[in-house]
Amino acid sequence: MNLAQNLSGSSLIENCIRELWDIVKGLLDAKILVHQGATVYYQESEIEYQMHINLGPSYSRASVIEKKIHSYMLRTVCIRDVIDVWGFGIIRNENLKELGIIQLEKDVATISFGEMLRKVESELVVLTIRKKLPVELRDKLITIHFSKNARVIDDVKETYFEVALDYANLWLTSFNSFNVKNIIFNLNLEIPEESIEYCIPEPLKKEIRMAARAILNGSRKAVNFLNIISKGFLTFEKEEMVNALQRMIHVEPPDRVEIVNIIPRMEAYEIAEIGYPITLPGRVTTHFRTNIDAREVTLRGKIILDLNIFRQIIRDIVNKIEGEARRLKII
Amino acid sequence: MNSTTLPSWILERYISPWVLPKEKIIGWVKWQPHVKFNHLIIRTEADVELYRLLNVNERIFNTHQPSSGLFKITSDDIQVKGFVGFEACYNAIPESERELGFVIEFVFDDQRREEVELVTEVIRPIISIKQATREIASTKEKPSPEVINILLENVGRGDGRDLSSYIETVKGKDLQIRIEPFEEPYDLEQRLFVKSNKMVGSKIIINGVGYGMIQLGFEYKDRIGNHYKTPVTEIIVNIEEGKRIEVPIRSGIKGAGSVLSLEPILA
Repeated sequence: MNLAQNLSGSSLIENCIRELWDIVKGLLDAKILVHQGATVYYQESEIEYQMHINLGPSYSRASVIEKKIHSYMLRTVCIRDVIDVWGFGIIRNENLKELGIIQLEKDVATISFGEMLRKVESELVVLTIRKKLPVELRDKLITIHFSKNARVIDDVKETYFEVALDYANLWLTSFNSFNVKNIIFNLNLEIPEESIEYCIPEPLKKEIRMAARAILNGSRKAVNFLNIISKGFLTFEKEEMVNALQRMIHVEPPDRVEIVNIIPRMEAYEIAEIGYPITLPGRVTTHFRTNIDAREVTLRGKIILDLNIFRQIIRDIVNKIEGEARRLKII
Repeated sequence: MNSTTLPSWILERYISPWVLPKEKIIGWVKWQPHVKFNHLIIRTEADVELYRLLNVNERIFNTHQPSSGLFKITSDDIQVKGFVGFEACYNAIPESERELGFVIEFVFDDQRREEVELVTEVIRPIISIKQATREIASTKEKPSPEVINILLENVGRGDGRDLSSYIETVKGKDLQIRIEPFEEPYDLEQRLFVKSNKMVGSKIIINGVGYGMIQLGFEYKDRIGNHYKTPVTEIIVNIEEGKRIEVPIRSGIKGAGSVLSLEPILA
């Protein structure tokens, strides 16, 4: 069974792989393709094919390979929708691009196997082609699900994800290796304004209410106080906060799920009744990345947020705000 | 959940642990590839759409109704031995949270059968209205009606959002009762920080004199936009003074529960 047979019937798939498959088939027929691997970059919706081509000793190519290989392969073959193409010889490290064997113009790659046979002295060539993978095709091959509703148990917010590959026969029989990389999930922790209020001690809330009303009477001190609150909460976006937030996120399995980044974001709020603008921590966006090997076929994991740690982070900010306001004798 | 004893040759079974109605469910079973069976049957319940089979020849779909809740897959239709999976969704909105089962039954040549059960939980927000007696009364002795507090509580595990109120029925021939939207600033004593100082809500407007009753309910959504309604609550209306009465409905689901204030005022 091969790539084209497995996926026959879908014009989308045929259009994507037809030119590549013609090359692979030609190399297989000539018995010089010794390894083929593929990596799908999920987020980018791209696929990278890697072929290891055994050219054998240069003196025997004319008698051995050129008789086996299809004549069209000896001319220049084109592949469309290519993002990049590169290749080198092993062990002499010839660069196929510099030798003019492979070229990329806009998104069309051209490969001359005839030139390869003539110019490369190494016995083995590694050729890599990275091309666009239509999203519809990607989704046909890889299905993922990230829970839409996290579960809260006590002070822990928990969500899960699943990845499963379809057409496992294709990956397992057509390629020596097949991986899916850069499967990225986003998790938004929305911070309701009530949860910020919950972390503010009652005496400080009273001071904020008094300051808000004093602003209406033109109090400069009150404006300064509310500015200290805004500035204090702005530290939520600082780099060091990311480390603190990292402590509240646990992933399972830890060796398979990587936290790519944590982005704390502020949101514009108003002080109730008077409508005075203030910025408060609004959300934490976390990107997670995972990869899957075709042999695994499936992957499942969990993301757990410890809300106690989050509240402690907000309380620490509030304590600093209170300290600063006292230092400046504003409250 | 997943309570059945597994045959020893089953390596793994998995299903999405919980889902909202209409959310994607992924499930799979892995077994030792050398185990030979004749065919397997995937069975599920009514209202489940099984819309994709993983690692199974596509022609299976052409011979089955996705909504039939039953798929028969011969051993030869499994693309790589040792794995079968599916994608499905529960298309109904259940009245309460419930378990949802899938059974993968392996049938061997000697008619022996082994089952693997997969159970997920369909969760949802369930906002209930508590508190029994409610009355909007404006009498000669006491013209200003009292505040009615209704406790709203989400007893489901799904997040509830976008709460809005509606009147289902009005009884009282001499009363004109309707719901109108309103906008007013928040009160600093109730809230410290707000997204916008304009509180957008709705209010019940009552005109006329008489005795009647309204049935008030709330609509809300879950995180994927499924619509829900609370059961309605009955509010008695007793107006002796012929003035317009406005009853702002201050609502919002905060955490698991929320006190909903109905503060009638004489306009």
